[in-house]
Amino acid sequence: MKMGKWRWVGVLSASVLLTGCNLVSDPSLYNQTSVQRTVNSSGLSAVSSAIGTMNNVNTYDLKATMQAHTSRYVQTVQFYGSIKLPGTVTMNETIGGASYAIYQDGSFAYQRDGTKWTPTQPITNLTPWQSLAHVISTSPPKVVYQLPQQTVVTWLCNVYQFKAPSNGSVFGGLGTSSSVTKQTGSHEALYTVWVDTTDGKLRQVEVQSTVGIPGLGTTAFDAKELYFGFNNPRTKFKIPIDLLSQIERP
Amino acid sequence: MTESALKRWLTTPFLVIYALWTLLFYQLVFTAWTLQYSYIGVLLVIGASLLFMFAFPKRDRRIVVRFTLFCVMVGVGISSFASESLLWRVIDFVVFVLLVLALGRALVGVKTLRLFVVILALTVVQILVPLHDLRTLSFFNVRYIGHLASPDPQVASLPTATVSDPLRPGVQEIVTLRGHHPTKDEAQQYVRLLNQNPQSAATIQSALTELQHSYDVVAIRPGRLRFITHYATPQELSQLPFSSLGLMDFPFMTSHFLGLQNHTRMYLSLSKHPGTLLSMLLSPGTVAQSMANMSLQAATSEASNWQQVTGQQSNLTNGFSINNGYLTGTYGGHSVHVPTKGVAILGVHHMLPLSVDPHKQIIVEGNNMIQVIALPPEQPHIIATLTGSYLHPLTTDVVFGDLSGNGQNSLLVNTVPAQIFRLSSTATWDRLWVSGRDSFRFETVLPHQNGDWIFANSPSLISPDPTRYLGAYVYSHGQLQRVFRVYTGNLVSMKIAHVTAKGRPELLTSVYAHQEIMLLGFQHVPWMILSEVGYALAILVGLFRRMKTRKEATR
Repeated sequence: MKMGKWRWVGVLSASVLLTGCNLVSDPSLYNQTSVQRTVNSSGLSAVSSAIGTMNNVNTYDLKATMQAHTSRYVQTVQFYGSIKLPGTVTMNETIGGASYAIYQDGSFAYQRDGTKWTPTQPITNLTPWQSLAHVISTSPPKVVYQLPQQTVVTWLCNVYQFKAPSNGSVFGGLGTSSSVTKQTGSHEALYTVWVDTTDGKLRQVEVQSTVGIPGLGTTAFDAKELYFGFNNPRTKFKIPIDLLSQIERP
Repeated sequence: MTESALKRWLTTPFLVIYALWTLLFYQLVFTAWTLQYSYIGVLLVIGASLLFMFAFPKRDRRIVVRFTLFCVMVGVGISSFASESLLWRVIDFVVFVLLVLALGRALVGVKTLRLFVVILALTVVQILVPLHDLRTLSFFNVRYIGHLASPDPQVASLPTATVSDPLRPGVQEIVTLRGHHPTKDEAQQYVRLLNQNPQSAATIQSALTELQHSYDVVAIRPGRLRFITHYATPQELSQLPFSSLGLMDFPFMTSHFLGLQNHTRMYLSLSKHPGTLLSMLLSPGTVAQSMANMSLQAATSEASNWQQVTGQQSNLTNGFSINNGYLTGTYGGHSVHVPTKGVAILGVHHMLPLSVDPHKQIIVEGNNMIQVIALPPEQPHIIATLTGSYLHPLTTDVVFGDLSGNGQNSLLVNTVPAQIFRLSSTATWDRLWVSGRDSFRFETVLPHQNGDWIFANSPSLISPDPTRYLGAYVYSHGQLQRVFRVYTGNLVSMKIAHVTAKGRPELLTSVYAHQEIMLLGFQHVPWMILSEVGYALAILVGLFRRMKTRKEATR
């Protein structure tokens, strides 16, 4: 009995002394993503048909992040809101820790910075899947990979990944100046697309890319957008009260 | 019982020393044990505490345990008052002391005056060394803390840089940003200036508009008694590239520097309207291109603004520059002109084994790749390229270090997970080490004779808590062997600096989410070991006494 007690004390002290003081090399985390993906010859058609199913979407909710990694700094912009086609938007944004909001109903468009609403240009490109369809039709990817199925929030999804160029002006949107487009040249990006296994709808899109900036080096981007709440009749698009009171104030 | 204990050994100086030791022990040792060894650490803490209680004679045990608990509670309580100098905090503190005295009188049973002296001692020590900094004492002492209140409370960390001090040759001073607090009549002065200097109307207008949301660019150097903060001069700032201070919220925000009369001020503006950002996002087919364009626009505008304000003449890094796809400069008296895909210069180091190439190589970074260019006098050329992927992109978030002390540098890359690469003699990349935890990141290296010390932030080894703690490691036989670990989280953007004296390395760091910067000196007093030894001695003396009294009783 006494021997057993001392053995336990020994085990406890040995475990304390031996518990990982050194960090061993462990490449599993690095290899994980590339090992698990396989080439899927029908991947492109699966993505195309998922885009096709989005044609009957009238309203949807959006949760998205845009991230840029430069040097030691990782900056994130967050989006959360609802969109009703063809032109109604209510969206909250967080940029650099500060909150902004957008309200748009057709050509009536306002943005809020802090507590003050100011008129802005209306956004016209409210169907992200059309932009994706444009990429696939103009420069179809040579290889489409399939990743293991993933659950996004509660939706089980098939995951497809491909590389495709990302160039031209913003599709039907506010546009970018052509001089700068010339400066950076055509850009390739890695697209990851999540397709819902139950209704075949597009659930999530992630775009990853990099750019070399003179004097700064590489900036790596990651834009990830989740679509949900399709055609939900309970989604409200009422004009914000503070915007209304600001407009109506004598 | 209590009275006799007080008479025998609980004198006021002893109580004060014991209280301070308790606080130090709690912060340095118990915290380290629980964070390092998780549940085993908790068991260890419980075991050690029980042993400590057991070692005390039964008649004194009650008072020792209660006084120890009292000290830990009061120490933690004072930490919320000590660093604040606001008036309402002083009133709070008086109420706190009264409550604590009442609690101490009832719980511990020590005289009120003695308790008051103990509380006073704990307060004074915490004003000098705040509670959370006590944990750094296991390896560092805090030379300087700058509380640089930012106008943006959400700012993640304040950028820091070092420049050579014009007043103290061979030593550096710290350059950073401090939230600007408008002085009385400041706006009035700008209006007057605006009318006197119509040529700088745009700058003064911006200073007026952004008066409440701007940063002063300041330089900090040690004075006779304390550190002195002054406005950084354009000459000091011209030593730095724009990226050292201008990457706060880049590329979504653009930094603007204003050259005012005797100082430089910075403010941020949105690079794109929220609506434009949403429009970019809603076009996934072109979002990569539009984000790249936004970054280039922001960087170009910041770089030209920085040159204008600081009067920077050239964009040389280590004597080299990259223009129109060519790396140009001079090395060892020979001119260098090599075509490269690089856009930024990372440094000049010995990347190849010295037996292969006695000259240094220059390392440049292009779009998601790093190139090493050899510099032999006859023909400089690219010898190796390391390319990143979209999933593991290569940014300039890299550190160079001589890991084995043979003069050859390795490349420590903060991809997710972090990796170490070294060039072989045939100029191919050997992947020496890959982190098993995705939140591990390299910060800087401290030169050391037998292999540089790698300073890194890494999570607790067992605990699932994502907080990362500062540690130093040496590379040996495919592993990173730990030299020390400091259980202070949130220290980011570290660099080795020489601020207080020549040849004495210090660690300059920014504190994440606290709008603070710290200058840490390397500690020569092994506080952690001392407090552990103190603990072990107290237990041993107690046990020895117990055995002795038991023996005497059996006789």
